[in-house]
Amino acid sequence: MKKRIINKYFLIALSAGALMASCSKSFVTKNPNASLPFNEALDTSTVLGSDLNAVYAELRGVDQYGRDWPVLGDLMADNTFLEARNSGRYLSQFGYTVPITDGVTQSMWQNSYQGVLYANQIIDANVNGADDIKAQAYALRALLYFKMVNIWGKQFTVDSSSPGVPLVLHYDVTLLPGRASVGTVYNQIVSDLITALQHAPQYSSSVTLSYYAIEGLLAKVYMYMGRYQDALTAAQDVIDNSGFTLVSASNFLSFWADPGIHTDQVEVMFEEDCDAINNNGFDDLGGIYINGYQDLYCSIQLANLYSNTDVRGQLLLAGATKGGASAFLVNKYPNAQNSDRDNPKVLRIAEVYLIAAECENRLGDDPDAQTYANDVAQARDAAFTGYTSTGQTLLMDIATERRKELAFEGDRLYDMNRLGLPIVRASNPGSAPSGDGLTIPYPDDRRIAPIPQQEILRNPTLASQQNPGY
Amino acid sequence: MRKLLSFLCLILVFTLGVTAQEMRTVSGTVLDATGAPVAGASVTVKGGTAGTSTGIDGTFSLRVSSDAKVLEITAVTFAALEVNISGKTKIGVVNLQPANKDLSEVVVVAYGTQRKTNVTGSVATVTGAAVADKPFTSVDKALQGDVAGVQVSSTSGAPGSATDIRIRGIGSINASAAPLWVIDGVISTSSDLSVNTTTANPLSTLNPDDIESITVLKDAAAVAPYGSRGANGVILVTTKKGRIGATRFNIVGEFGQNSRAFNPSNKPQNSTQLQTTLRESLINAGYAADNAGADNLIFNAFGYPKNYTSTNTNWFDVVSQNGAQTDVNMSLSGGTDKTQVYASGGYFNQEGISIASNFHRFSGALAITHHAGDRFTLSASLNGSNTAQHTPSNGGTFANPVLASYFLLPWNTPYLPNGQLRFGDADTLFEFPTNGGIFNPVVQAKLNSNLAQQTAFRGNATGELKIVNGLKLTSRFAGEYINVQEDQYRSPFYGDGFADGGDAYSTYTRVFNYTWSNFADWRQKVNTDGDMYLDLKAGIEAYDSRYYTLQAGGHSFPLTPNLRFLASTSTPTTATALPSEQTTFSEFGIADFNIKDRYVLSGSLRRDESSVFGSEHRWGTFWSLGGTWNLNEEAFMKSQNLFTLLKLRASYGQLGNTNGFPGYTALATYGSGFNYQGQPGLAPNNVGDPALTWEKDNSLNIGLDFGMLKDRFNGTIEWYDRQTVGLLSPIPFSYTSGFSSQNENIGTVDNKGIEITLSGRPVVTHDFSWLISFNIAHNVNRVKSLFQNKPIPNGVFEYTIGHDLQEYYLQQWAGVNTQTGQAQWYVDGNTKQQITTNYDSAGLGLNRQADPKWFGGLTNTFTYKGFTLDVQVTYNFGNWIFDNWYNYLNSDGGYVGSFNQFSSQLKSWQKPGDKTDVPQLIYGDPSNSNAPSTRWLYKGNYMRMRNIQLSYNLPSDVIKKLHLANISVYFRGTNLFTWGVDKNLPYDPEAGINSTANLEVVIPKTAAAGIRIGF
Repeated sequence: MKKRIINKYFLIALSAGALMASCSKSFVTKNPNASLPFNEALDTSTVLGSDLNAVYAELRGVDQYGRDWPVLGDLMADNTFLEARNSGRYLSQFGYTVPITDGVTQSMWQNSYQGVLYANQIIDANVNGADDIKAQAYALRALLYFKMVNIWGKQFTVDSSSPGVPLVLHYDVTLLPGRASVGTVYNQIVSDLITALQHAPQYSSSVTLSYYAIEGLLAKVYMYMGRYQDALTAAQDVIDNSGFTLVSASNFLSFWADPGIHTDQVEVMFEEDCDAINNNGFDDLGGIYINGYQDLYCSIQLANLYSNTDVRGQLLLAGATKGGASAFLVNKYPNAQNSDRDNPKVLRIAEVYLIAAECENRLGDDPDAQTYANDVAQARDAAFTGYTSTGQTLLMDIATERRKELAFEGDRLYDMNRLGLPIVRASNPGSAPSGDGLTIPYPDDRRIAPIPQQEILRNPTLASQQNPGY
Repeated sequence: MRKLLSFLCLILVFTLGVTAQEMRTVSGTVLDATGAPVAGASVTVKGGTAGTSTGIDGTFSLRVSSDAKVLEITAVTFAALEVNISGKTKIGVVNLQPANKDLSEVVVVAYGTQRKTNVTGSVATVTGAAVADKPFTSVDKALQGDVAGVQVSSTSGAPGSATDIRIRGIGSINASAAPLWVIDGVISTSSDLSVNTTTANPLSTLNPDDIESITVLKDAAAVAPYGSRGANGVILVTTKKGRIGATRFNIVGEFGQNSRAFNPSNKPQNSTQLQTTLRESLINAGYAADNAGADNLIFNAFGYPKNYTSTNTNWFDVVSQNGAQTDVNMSLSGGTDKTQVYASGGYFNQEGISIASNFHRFSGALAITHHAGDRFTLSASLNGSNTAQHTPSNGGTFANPVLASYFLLPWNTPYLPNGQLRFGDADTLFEFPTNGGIFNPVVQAKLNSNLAQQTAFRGNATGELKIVNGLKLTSRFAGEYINVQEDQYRSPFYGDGFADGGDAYSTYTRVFNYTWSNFADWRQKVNTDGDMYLDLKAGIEAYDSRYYTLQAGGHSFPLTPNLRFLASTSTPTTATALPSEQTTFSEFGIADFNIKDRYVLSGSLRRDESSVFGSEHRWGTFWSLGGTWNLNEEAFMKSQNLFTLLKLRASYGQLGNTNGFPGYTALATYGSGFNYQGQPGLAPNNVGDPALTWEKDNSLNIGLDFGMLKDRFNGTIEWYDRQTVGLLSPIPFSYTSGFSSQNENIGTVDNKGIEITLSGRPVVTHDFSWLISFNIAHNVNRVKSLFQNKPIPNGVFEYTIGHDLQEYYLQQWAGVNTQTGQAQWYVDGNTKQQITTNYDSAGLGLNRQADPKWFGGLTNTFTYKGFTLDVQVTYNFGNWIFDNWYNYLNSDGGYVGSFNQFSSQLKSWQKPGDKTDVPQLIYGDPSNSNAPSTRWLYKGNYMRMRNIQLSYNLPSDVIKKLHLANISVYFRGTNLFTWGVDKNLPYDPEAGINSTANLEVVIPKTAAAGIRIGF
């Protein structure tokens, strides 16, 4: 009896051991459940479509169109001010004391190149039938480099041989690239946009890039390069053939109040979608102006530019800072607390008109320049009788029109850099004293951001390529 | 087999014969060397099966056969004692001697127990009482100061929070450097399981009162049986089991109060102080000429009311509470020689000292051992518990009450003059923003909740079969099941939830791990005397760890404070579910060769195959060799009486570490979740390394154990050198690649150190005894190789060859210019020659480490008659604490209008000649004087009275009258005193392994009283 029991236990132990040993191969093979190997993520046009969504999503981030880009273009110029009682954001940018360790600067750098990687992977994917997807990837890469070269480099028209940003076009984590010249970066941007146009998709909605939106971007890039004829040609093609129309004065406020996606070709050519689920939460653009931190306000200088009959002035709400000083609150992005969030605008048809206006003026055709500028100005202010100035005065008038039209969309600083204008701030009640009434001459090293210290530590090639003044 | 059968028959006959014999009862009292009763000592007839255990008063009585000759008395931490009982019914008082005198004491080791004589590795034991006697929510926190070389540091004082443990330094940077926890054979989860609440420590589900003993395995010889998981040390927890004898009941009840352990001298400023700072900053910046001008700005630009300094809120007090705590445990233990049972139930409740923090636990344990015949033993145990804890958010979140207590301005108030809470429309002074910014912490605590609940079961069933004498087969299935349910609710009325109409996030996380081990133990005698023998163990093991998480979120609640769960929201925002799994298959063998107890050689070999790595790199082999020379067993030592124990040990081996390796890292992958416009998005999220394999730890240990003067003094001195090669270390990429870094097996880090443990009984009289035990450890951590041997920046640290892994790489602060009041840094961070006032020209330098150079504990125990006084002090020296929040709170005028400042800012430079470390305060300070630099570091030295306990055992005549076995009452204090802290440090000096202050719930001190009753 005992003997049999023992044998039984023996057998159980032995068979258990054998069972475990034989299963070991499959037992130790496990695969991830929420990620794909590289090759499976780049092998069909359908999966490339999902890869493309990630590039758009990247540009929505707080450090890109989500907040930093639109905010800094105005705050570092003269359109907005930071109130004394603030949440601690953008203080160094407002006061022009950005250190090389600045977190905002580093995030803008790091996340932009992440977007570049996502786009590069799509462009380099060996997939047929994905031309429209690749076209968007080219255009988005161009857009990223355009923003970067303007933040970290001098203006093309000032010195195209000065250092721009490292130009990375293919995936290779071991590269330690130095800075390509501003000219080289711009040439790549132009080349990417032209490539994109060849297979660009037709317009389907405002939140993805389509043919004329890309051409509009190309016009802007040409203008920044001083290639006014090329810019004008592209801008005119958009104005004449795209089907996009300026939003009317009567619909202007409802246009800005609407956080939804547009499919009507009215005004917005490309915007970054922030919806009820995919958004930046507290850090949404509107939060920093009005429904949230409420740190930034419209400067007195800008507010005074809008006439009483200018509908754009109604995007400013007379109120007070949190500290109690009278100030104009920016209501261009009113949906920071609603389900659907404001979509930061990347390109509007109004800007294309203003590009055409500036290029006509630069090329010596002031009457046509006035016409394009008036198209925008009179759509916003029916009482406006029209521009009659010429030459340099008209150029400055168009710059002012750009300032009024594109306020809080992040272009002002780069326009001022491009036009060689000093930044002369007025004093605003309730402003954080550090940047209040500040004057930054042109040129000034501090108008160009430092290469982040963390990048220099990782990439010794850049150690000797820091921007002057840092 | 025939032989075996006849042998079995013989046993059967023998057993029957015994039962037929006449019986008698033997009684006696077991006391320790000081005369104190030893409770729970096991009393058995040598060579027989009858047995019992002593009561709390040390007494026992046992029915034995009339021819029984010898009783064996054993108890944890005491040496076994044999007593002749031939013809006796009373043996009177017997005194047990402390264990280390006798090397036959048994310690818990990997896959079983081992005689101390045979131990070649570094093994330290902590009794269950030592951890149960401290009022912490989890066993990990209670280990602080108990074992040399085991560094225990909590970042958070929140009840139920996780704790960092490092054994012999940091041996991993990107995998886990934490030790492996094995609870009753279950490879247990010890890392924080919280997903969207702040913390959920799985070890908090184990009731410390159910722990019998804890063994810490530190070197290769001890740890190698755990192969690829043991490199960072192993902590073995053995829970209580039933004992033979009459059923004993024990009840413990304890009640206490918690408050802030450390009250810094550098505090947030009060209203008048902040007014001074604010005025000074504005005037120095040139925005005002004098105080009147500054006030003008303060009233108009900042918008503070004219009488703002008349209000003075101490936000520390506002966010603190005096937390009550209750601990009640009941247990029973008993059994026959066939079957023994232990059962317990416990309730623990601790309120944290920050508002909105508390912890509850119900727990139960059941352990059964059953001897089926003489050859087969089944033991099974199950520990189950349910915990619920509330923990506020930590770090830089607006809802963090601890952050609020430092940042909020002293002239803000949580309540309106009429007693209502200040928020929303009632907050007419806009002290607390509605939509972002630091919220009113009192409203937060009242309206919102962060609840984490864990349900955990750990259990094992073990069958042991003795085939023949010397050969035993064991099959053990040990598993752990933990589910964590997290419910976060943010009210629609105020705070983080206001913007989206209130929101809720619920997470369900489940961990199921099992380890199935099958092994055989075999003793081979080498000589006929049997004093040379070989102990062999060989087996196979399968380990499977399955993790599953389900998360959902939504917003827009009905506008009532009473509906708080996701079900009431109208708009779903998040829904995700994700399983992951890791498996290991192993084969192992362990051998010990004992030569007359004088020399012991040990070796182990283990092969592991892990699912974490690429298919070509799954197998790894781990091994160890150890040797012991028990000098006191040598003939030449018999003539001296200075040393009662002298034992020299050495071991070397190679261990592995796969703990904390993120699953699937070997693959280059695209991850999901990069969604846009409601469409799914995929993006590259992992560079991938097909050559990925374990970190290997080459570990050398040399130890000396000694006992002197009849064991009045004992000690252990150990020296170790553990070198981790193939360190999973980040290969940094230029950000322009789109990736920041990738972890690969490149790098070596070395931890060398010594550990000293000493204990002694300087005074032992009949009524009074003094026991002192002391441990201290010194560890030197040095990086030996890296990718291209180039430094790797990592936050505030930089991994650099020849330096500590956690050495700060920062701009070097050169103090304040006495003439100009400007901040200064060194241009070259290493040579520290030239000084600059331009932060961007400041050089980075590598110095000052976050790891303590020395740490340990000192315990004194005084016993006088029924009174016992225990005092434990822990200490920690040589590290520096990094203050993540320095730039906001010591902003030199930078944030002075927005956030409160520390009182140390009052020492600011005023006029030429002033010697101070605080620059001239300038509003909107352009000098970046408050930017990261060594100025942000504080000395991390401290000593703390970790525990003090006075207990009193009621005299036995009183107890007898009450018909009880014992009663003792006690009073204790935990963390009552803290000494030696940097006077500028505004936080608790216990700041986690990386010494970084992150505005967590502060560490509590506890005063408690309790009673233990046994019957």
